[in-house]
Parts: sequence; C-alpha cells; structure tokens
Amino acid sequence: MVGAEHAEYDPEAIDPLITPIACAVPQSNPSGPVLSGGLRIAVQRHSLAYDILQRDEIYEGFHCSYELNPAFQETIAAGGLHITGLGDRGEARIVELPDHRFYFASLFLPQHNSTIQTPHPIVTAFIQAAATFKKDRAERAVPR
Amino acid sequence: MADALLIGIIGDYDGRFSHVATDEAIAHSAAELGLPVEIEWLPTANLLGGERQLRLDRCDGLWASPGSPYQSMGGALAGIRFARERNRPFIGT
Repeated sequence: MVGAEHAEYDPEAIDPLITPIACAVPQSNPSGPVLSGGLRIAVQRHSLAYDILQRDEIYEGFHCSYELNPAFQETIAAGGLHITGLGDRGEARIVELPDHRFYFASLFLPQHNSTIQTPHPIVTAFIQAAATFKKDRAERAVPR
Repeated sequence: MADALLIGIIGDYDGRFSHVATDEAIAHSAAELGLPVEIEWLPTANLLGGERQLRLDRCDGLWASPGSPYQSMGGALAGIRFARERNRPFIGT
C-alpha cells in the first residue's frame, strides 16, 4: 500500500489506513476522545495476547479517536499482521506479527491498568522479551 | 548501569498522563521481574537521520508511545520498522 495514510495527518488521503473511530461508545466523555474508558475486547486464541492473558475476553482502558480502517482489515491480515483482539463490532483492537519474537500493538493502553501491586501482564511479558533479547545478543557477541 | 535493560520509547515526551503511565508501567513490571530497567525517550524527529540506527540498536526493547500526532510520523514509522525488520521486542499502545 503506497498511499497508506493516517487521517489525523492527512484528512484527504486516498487510502486512509487509519480513520476516525466509526462507532462512539455510550459512556464516551463528550469533551474527551471518542473512544474512552473501559471496553471489552475479544481475544483470539493462538495469539501472543492469549498466551499472555489466558482469557477470551478482557476489559481495557481506551483513550483515542482513531482506529484501523475496517475496510483494510482483510488486507492487513493478508499481509501477515494478525488481528488478535476485536471490539464488539469486530474492529481491530490488537495486532501482532506471529513470526516475530514479540510484536504487539493495541488501541488500548495497558499502561493505564498497571499498578505496582498488579503490573500489567502484557507490559511484563514485553519487558521479559527485552531481557531475553539482551541475553541472546550478549551470547551472540561473545563466541564460545 | 551496564547490566540494566534499556527500553526505548518512540515518542515525544510532554508529561501527559499516558506518558507518565508508560514510564510507571515499565517500572512496575521491572520490579515484578526483579530486573533493573532504564528508560530512554526517543524523540521522533531524531529517528529520521542516519544516527537513528545507533539510537535504536542500543535498546533491548522498543515501545511506540501513545499521544498522536507525533512530531515526526516518518521518524516514528522508522523506529517501528526497525523493530519489525530487526526482530526486536516491540509494543505499540
């Protein structure tokens, strides 16, 4: 996709990959972003998200006004970016690259659900992946 | 700290709630894992030039921060592309 654009940066884009949230939520704060507060996400099996969370359904905090254009979901998935978390209308809420050591992106903000008593498991898994990478890199750098 | 993990955050820190929360969430998880972690924010405009390879390569994990628009969408995408192509731990929220 050569002309892929984000509507916040280029509202006239021919191929708007990222578009304003199509469906506002009832509890949305009128002065805040369109998608705000805690919302349900259906977590797909056989995904990094499911491996970490071990749940089919999660509630997470959103604070955003744009989303992946639903018209491009098939194209995105065909290109290898798996959509592993879905909103109530099937909108993309989590995407992952399955053949990557750890590649996770979400529309929600796991960092808003983290406390020192209960760190967010997705963030913890990311930090663990970074630690594993650091170790792998150190071992590669020192031939044995 | 030479042994600390370095997490690079692709984004333009301005002290907003989600930026503070990102730093804090990393600290929470690091404490749970018992790992020393350092955080470095990587302004998106600095990820356009030739030195970006160096800035990104130092990091053990890369996090694309919340809070659009980025100062440089091109810089942000370059950072995310680096993580994808070089198989680096990546999270974007």
